[in-house]
Amino acid sequence: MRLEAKQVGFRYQGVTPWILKDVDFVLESGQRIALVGPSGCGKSTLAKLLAGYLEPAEGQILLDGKPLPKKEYCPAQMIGQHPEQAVNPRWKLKKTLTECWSPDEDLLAAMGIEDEWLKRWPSELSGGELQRFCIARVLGPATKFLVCDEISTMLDVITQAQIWKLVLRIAKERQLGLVVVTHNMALAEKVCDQIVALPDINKR
Amino acid sequence: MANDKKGQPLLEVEGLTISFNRYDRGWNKVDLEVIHFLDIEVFPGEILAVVGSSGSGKSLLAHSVLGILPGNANISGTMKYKGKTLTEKLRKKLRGHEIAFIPQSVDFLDPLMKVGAQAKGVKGTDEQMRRVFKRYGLDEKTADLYPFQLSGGMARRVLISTAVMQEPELIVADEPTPGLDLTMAMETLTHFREFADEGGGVLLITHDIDLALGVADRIAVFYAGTTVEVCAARDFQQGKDALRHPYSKAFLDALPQNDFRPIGGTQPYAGNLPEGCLFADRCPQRTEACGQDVPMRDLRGGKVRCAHAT
Amino acid sequence: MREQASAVKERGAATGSDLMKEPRTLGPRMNTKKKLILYVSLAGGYLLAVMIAGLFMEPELYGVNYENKFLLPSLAHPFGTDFMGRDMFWRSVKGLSNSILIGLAASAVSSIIALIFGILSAAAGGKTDRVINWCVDCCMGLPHIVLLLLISYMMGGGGLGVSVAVAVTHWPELTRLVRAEALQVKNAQYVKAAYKMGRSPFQVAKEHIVPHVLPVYLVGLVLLFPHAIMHEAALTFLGFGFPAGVPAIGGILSEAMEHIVTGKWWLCLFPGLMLLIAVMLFDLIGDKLKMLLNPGSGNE
Repeated sequence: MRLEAKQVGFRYQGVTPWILKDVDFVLESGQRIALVGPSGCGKSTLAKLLAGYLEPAEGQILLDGKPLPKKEYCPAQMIGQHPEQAVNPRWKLKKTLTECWSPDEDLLAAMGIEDEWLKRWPSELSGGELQRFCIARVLGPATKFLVCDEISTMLDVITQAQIWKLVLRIAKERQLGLVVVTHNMALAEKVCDQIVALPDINKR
Repeated sequence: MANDKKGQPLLEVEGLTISFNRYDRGWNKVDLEVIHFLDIEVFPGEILAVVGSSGSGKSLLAHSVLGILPGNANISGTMKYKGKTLTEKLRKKLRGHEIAFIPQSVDFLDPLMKVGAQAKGVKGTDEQMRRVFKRYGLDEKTADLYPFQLSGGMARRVLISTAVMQEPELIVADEPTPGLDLTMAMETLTHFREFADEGGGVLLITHDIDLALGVADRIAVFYAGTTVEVCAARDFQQGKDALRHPYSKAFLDALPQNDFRPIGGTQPYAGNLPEGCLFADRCPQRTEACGQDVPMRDLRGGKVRCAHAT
Repeated sequence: MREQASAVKERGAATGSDLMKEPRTLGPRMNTKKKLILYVSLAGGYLLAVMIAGLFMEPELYGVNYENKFLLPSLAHPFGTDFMGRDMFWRSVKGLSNSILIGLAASAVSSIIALIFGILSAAAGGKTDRVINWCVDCCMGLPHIVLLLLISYMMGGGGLGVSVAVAVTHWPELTRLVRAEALQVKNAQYVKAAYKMGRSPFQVAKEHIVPHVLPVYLVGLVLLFPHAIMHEAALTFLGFGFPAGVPAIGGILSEAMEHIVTGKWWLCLFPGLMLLIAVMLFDLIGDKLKMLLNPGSGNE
């Protein structure tokens, strides 16, 4: 499959300056691309566009030539920087984990999610532990692309290495396409097979 | 502590233990201990970086120094500032003057107040504000902006300006770098370095060991609510063998520019705190001795909480 | 908060406190949560009792009896009697009961309006949001008592007038509250993620939004009561509410004003106190409920 941004431009409410302009970006299944650049260059915005969290003001986001689905499960799923904001604080984690599909035992074991955690509230787990849930819940069979926006920035280096090892293994097994937004060049080099500097493709 | 440090520490924390009264399920209240027997010292002219996994209670250390823990916290142990015990009254006097706090996020700014007025605080003057803003590369017009109009980097600089406005002697910075790109993060830390070089003390709380190494004089490694190692920053740069605790060594291994190799397991927590060494269940060198209480001890010019470290 | 909560480890209460000095929050043996519930049920019980007592009271209890004019408070008449020899205690209870009933009606109507407007405003956004916000601003911009007087007068005064006036003017604050909460949860990352995971708007509303808005709504609803009661009393006091024959705290107080110069202090003191206590109790229930429903503050 192929996830593609075609001549994409974005700004808020049609009045603010362009954040992205005429951006072309292509990601194939099985490919892992790091998106780097200074703060405020629009990395997160492009990530949100690719996962359908924002609508482009110009151009299109295409999945195998068709627009992203709006009402059904989106094959391009995003994982964010703050896992504690991405889970409902009033839900026990089992409910969060199974919101759209039921991961099997093997996957949970592979993700290092302990059975005991499922009975807890989000406030009782650390960021690294919650991030595992955020990843596992979008690894359903319908997911073809993962957009990872600074997913390990808030984690310590050991947890960061743990999480990435898991994501890489599953991405390889399932031939997922990965967009990795990060400011850590060493991480980008370790995790991805291609590095794209956003300012180079952003013609604003 | 490092022997080459002289004089009286600016901040001295001894045997700090913090616990929270929390509701378990339903009615039962339990005491949850989040920080155990923690000792650290910050000397004038140095940056002490506290690094450790997320959720190891690092922020609580900062909050307890400032005295801004929530009401259900119980604190024991002693905390001294320039040799004087930090009481609630003394804290109030020092907070914002001699001790400044740089919070984790811009959310700590009042969204409805212009940043200039916030930076000035109650006692600052326009003159002071202009000087400090200029020093941190902030335009004079910045003072008229509201927090939501600031970019991440500007907001960070505003927070630092606010902290140094009253010319403090000790800065407590809680995770000042996430969300900044490398240049900006380094810039932030350089400001701390300058501040320390002028004789101030900085307690820098961070999980980004990479950055901390660049500026800090000493590193305190935090794990599960206590320090497992305190050492000179150069020990980290020299590599694994210069370090003392197995957790600090695992830290180095997991860096992306090194092996990017994680150790298994997770930090112990609620209800699962092991007896003795808190790191034992993830430690390759575990023996029976790890089941006993492991005190902090001096080793090669640093301190370590491990029975086996040599 | 998050960091500390996740780092929290449990040594069990026993070991925990052995290690520490006497924890400073350990005062009375009862824990805060139990105390809160006790407060709420006591206050609620008292108010409910007053309301029910008023509903099923024999009218003779506060009937006219010219032989007992202006009696000082005594065992037979704890609050004394007025210029027609009516027992002030029973009149006050009946009056307060009427006030509570009006408060109930007002809260019910106002809170439903607020819920619909608030959710609609947050969910639809755009023009709808602007129109609703404009209505809210209009209502809040007018002095509340003037609005109440207008509506009550328009409806011809009396029990109906005052009920309608109080019922339809208390929604703006709660609307704002509901709207803010709904907006917050609507923009929460977990809600956006839920949509991307293919959840329908109905599922999202049911599982994410309603459980989030409900606690705030409930507290807001309880906190409407004291306002409604005070406003009913004010309207009646000014002569735009219940007619003189119906016992109502506002009416009792305005009658008492005529006798205060002649030293009939009990006529206004006790009914006034009852009104004050009722209002404070409702406030207390709202406050404690807020603490109970908010896990963070409940821990303190």
